[in-house]
Amino acid sequence: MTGTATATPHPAALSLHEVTASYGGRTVLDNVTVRIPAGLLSAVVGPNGAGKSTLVKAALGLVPAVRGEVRLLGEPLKRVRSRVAYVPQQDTVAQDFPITAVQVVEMGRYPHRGWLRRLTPRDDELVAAAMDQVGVLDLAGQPLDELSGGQRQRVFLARALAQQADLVILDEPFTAVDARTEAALLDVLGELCRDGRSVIAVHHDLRTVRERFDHAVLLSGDVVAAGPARSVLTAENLERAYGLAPLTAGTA
Amino acid sequence: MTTADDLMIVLIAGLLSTACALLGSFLVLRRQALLPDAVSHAVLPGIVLVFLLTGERASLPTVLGATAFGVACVAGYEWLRRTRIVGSDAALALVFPALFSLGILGIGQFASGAHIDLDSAIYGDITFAPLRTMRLAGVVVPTSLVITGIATVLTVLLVALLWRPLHASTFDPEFAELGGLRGRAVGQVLLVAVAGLAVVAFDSVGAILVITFFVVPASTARLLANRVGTMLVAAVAVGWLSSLAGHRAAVAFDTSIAGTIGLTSGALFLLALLFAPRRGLLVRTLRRARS
Repeated sequence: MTGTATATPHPAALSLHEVTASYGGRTVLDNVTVRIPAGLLSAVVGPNGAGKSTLVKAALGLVPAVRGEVRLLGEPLKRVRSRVAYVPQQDTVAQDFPITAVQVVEMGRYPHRGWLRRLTPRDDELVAAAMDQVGVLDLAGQPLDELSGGQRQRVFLARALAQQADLVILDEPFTAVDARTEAALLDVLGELCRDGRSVIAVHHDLRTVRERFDHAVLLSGDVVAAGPARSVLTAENLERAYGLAPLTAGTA
Repeated sequence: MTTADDLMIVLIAGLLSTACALLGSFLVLRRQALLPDAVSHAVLPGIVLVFLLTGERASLPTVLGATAFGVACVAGYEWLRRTRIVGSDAALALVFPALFSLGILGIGQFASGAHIDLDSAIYGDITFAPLRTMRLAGVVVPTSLVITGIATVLTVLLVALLWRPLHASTFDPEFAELGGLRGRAVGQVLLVAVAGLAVVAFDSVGAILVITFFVVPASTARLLANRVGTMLVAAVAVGWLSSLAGHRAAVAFDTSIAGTIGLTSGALFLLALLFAPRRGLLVRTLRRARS
């Protein structure tokens, strides 16, 4: 089961080689080696405390990787910053920040424009197109803190789309999101992959992963299994990761 | 009846409130509003050290010594916070009492006979700001006006230059870091700028007014604005209004200028808290009652 991913023809969207990372003084990832192929909708799953968020944060340089080597789109992070978009967990974003929806999406163009260069008309087009794609164009002028959880998450995905990134990484994107929004966002993410881009989402809902994702990495401190989603989420693997089989595993 | 001194006081307070409102807005949004208060205590060992070295309480060396410890305070705070072992609020609360204690010990051990009067050593009073003067291109002007003028211009330039990374990293630090906006470094520049501005301002107008200017207009503006840009403009406006109205009140009642400016800005905050169009208590209560 483990390692079937390496047989796919795609280059890696993300590869970690012997990465050790700690968070809050505790070693969460210990010598992890994993390769997530490009062009797929991939999920990072596992129990609470398994190091799912730490894995993507270490890959993005947001927690210092103590040891090991990380490659995004085959390159070190500093060479691909503008090509990698990130949708953080909602609680790391300032909740009461005075900002409108369109201003959030405009930030997606900042990695291309740096500190001082003005956004161009082309940037404005990309921003509008991204908002339209996730159905929040009519909310452009709304203050972010007056939007619902689902609307907020659509806005953050629009920011990633506006960035025109080749790799989109999302940390628990569907918490505090209604089922309709979740399905709509998954459709958009699937379109990105058909476009040749790569999507990696930290996620905890195994049912969604089985039904909607191409690829999965099952974590529990280290990698329990990685490969096509259905072949990773077997009862046997889930038992190894979670200690006991969660309810959804019984239907496998 | 308005004298030249009155005009100077309003001008100094207004300029200073401008600089403080610009930086203070970001502090409030980053939940670091207590930082200027902490810096006001942490600078004490710097003042004592300069006194021990030079035997005087001259303004410039004292301000430099104080700034050094103000920066040490924010550096220690940043370092402790980054370890993620203690919380952000605790990190601040751990650093400044240690530095303040160091200052107290310094006075007790070496300078007890020197009557380091904190009020006159660095914590100035805006009432006397027009009295200390200097010559600038042949014209006699209050030293505080020159200093706060320079500080305000530098602050405006800094915020303009760092606008995008400050905006993005205050809102979403992880995005800003990943996107190459160097949010972490910019956050540190903000803290050092706050420490520097605070110390300069203590010397001109006194600590309590500085802390007021950093936090109260920004908090008031937050209740009124939907964008950071509008928030900064509103904060500056509230700062000037407080300075002007507070000064008028002090003249009318013949009382402390810093006190009335502080109270005025507090009153403006209260008004906004109650009656702000989208975020005020009244609107929230009505909205809840209707739903």
